[in-house]
Amino acid sequence: MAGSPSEKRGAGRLLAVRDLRVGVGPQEDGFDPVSDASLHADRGEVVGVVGESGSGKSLTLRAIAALLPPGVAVRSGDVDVGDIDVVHADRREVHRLRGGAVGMVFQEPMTALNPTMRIGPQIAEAARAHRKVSRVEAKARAIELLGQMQFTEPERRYRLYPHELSGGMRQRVVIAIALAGDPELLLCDEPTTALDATVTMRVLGLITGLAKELDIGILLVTHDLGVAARVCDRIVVMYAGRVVEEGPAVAILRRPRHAYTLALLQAVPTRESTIEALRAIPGSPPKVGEVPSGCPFVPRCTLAEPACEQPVSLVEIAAGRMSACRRHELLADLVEADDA
Amino acid sequence: MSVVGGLPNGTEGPPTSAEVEVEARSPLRGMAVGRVVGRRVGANASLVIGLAIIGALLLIGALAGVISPHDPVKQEIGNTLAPPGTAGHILGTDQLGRDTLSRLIYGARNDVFVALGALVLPFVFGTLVGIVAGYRGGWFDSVMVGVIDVIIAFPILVLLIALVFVLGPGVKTIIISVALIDWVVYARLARTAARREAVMEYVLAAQVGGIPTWRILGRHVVPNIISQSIIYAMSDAVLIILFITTLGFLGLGIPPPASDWGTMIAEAQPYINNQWWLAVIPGIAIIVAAFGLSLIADGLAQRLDAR
Repeated sequence: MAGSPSEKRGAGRLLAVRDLRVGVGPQEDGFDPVSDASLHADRGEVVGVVGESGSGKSLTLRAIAALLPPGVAVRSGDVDVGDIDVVHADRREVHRLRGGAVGMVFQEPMTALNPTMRIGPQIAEAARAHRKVSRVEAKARAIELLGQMQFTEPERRYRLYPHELSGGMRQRVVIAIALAGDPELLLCDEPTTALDATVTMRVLGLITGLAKELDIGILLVTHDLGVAARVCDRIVVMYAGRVVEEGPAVAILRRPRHAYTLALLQAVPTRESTIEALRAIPGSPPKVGEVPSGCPFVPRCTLAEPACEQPVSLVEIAAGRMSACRRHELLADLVEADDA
Repeated sequence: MSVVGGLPNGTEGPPTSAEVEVEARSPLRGMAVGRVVGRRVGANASLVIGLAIIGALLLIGALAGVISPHDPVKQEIGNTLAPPGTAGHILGTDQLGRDTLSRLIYGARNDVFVALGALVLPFVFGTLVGIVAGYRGGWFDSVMVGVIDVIIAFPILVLLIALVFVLGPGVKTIIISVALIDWVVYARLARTAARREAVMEYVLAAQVGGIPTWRILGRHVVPNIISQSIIYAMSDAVLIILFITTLGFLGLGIPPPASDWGTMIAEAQPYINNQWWLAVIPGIAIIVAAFGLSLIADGLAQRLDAR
């Protein structure tokens, strides 16, 4: 993970987050909702970040966009988007980042659009924020984006107000705004949580289609494993502000190598599962500021052993698979036995 | 809602032939059309009536020189304290034989015009300060909150009267003192709203989109928070009219012999037992103006909040 600065920067990665620690309040007696988060994303790839609410996934996303709320700051670690060093960026670089290198899609399409502005000008405004284009060109670009977002009659839709659209349509407008500046990285914060099940797939399909079509990287934060399973190439599992497991989506979901991931999967109802087979995870996530020094999942873990109380770090357990679980070998055996 | 009015209600756009037929046959046709037009511009009864009252008062004030039957300061010593209905003086005359109706009309010019004029400065300045403080936060916000709290801690009317007393009576004084004090109310309103708005996702979206701050404020924050300030401004105009008339009553208002409603009431005091109308007539004028502004505030609240 360490390396000389020249090696660290860029390295061909679209997004590289290393040992990110995000803190609230003063350095001495504040607490860190995100600690030691490391993840990366490449072009054309959809990376899912899953975890319960409070696991720090949204804050990690906001840190990547240099958009942390007041009073919250990056304590240590690095965030690189292309050649931009986000943590140490000055005003000009932040401007280059926002709307240029990254676009962001929000959870709640009701509030992510300005209710007093027509949707077209909102997209056109975003298109003009970074390139010197005329009003006419920006409008044409907005209409083109609406078309890309599968709006029929984009010219007519241009003049609609947000309240005249359904939730799914609004979310597609939000995506259009996020894409207006031609970002290389699209950050999606629970983009389908507020949507009906019927439009969820359509919006997700649109997002993943974009990754391939525009060759951009997509970071998709969600608490819904079903969503992650359908659209992600890779999955990063977060718990109590840490990345606990990472790997290809299919592998993570079929053969979890962290006790927390396994517990999450067992809590998801499937077509085959019976009520009895569903297991709630006992207890609740540690409160911020009370995270144990060892593996944070120990108090709720059914597989924990005394050694788990010791600090543990994310290690590579197989090609492209990382886990921060001491019992990952036991897990591998368990899952295999289950399969047989 | 009547059946006739209810039929074409839900639909937007050109009415179908069936609707046109229904409207054509309806004895309430005129009303129904009016209602449809009203819905288009989002008007409601309060707003229309309020605007009509204030519009009429402003028109009367503007045309005072043309429509008032007498010179408001001309005295007729032989015809003092004439009751309403006297030939040539519909509303009678005061203790100096001045025509009450003419003084009332010129009073509309002074009171309503000055009140609305005095409103502009504090509204613009206060809203600006409040939005910047609420959106930016930090030291500017802390300083402004301190200043606002200190000024609001005093009873506003007492502060205003003290200021006018120091600066000396006059229209300019009234406008300056109102501007110096009243902006804090708008600043506080706008600050709270801007703080709430600053964390909305569409503002975040604009920030992530790299849109410049002045533009975020102008196009995303202001349009979404300004309605309540406008609504409050209408109620505030009522307060300012009352303030001006209070000053007039205290002898600190618009200097004589120019007429204003408060001064008229003050001068009518000794005659309240026998010539009560001298106080009641300007009193009614104040009530009508206040009522009109309140109706506008009410109507705007209905109109602007239904977004």
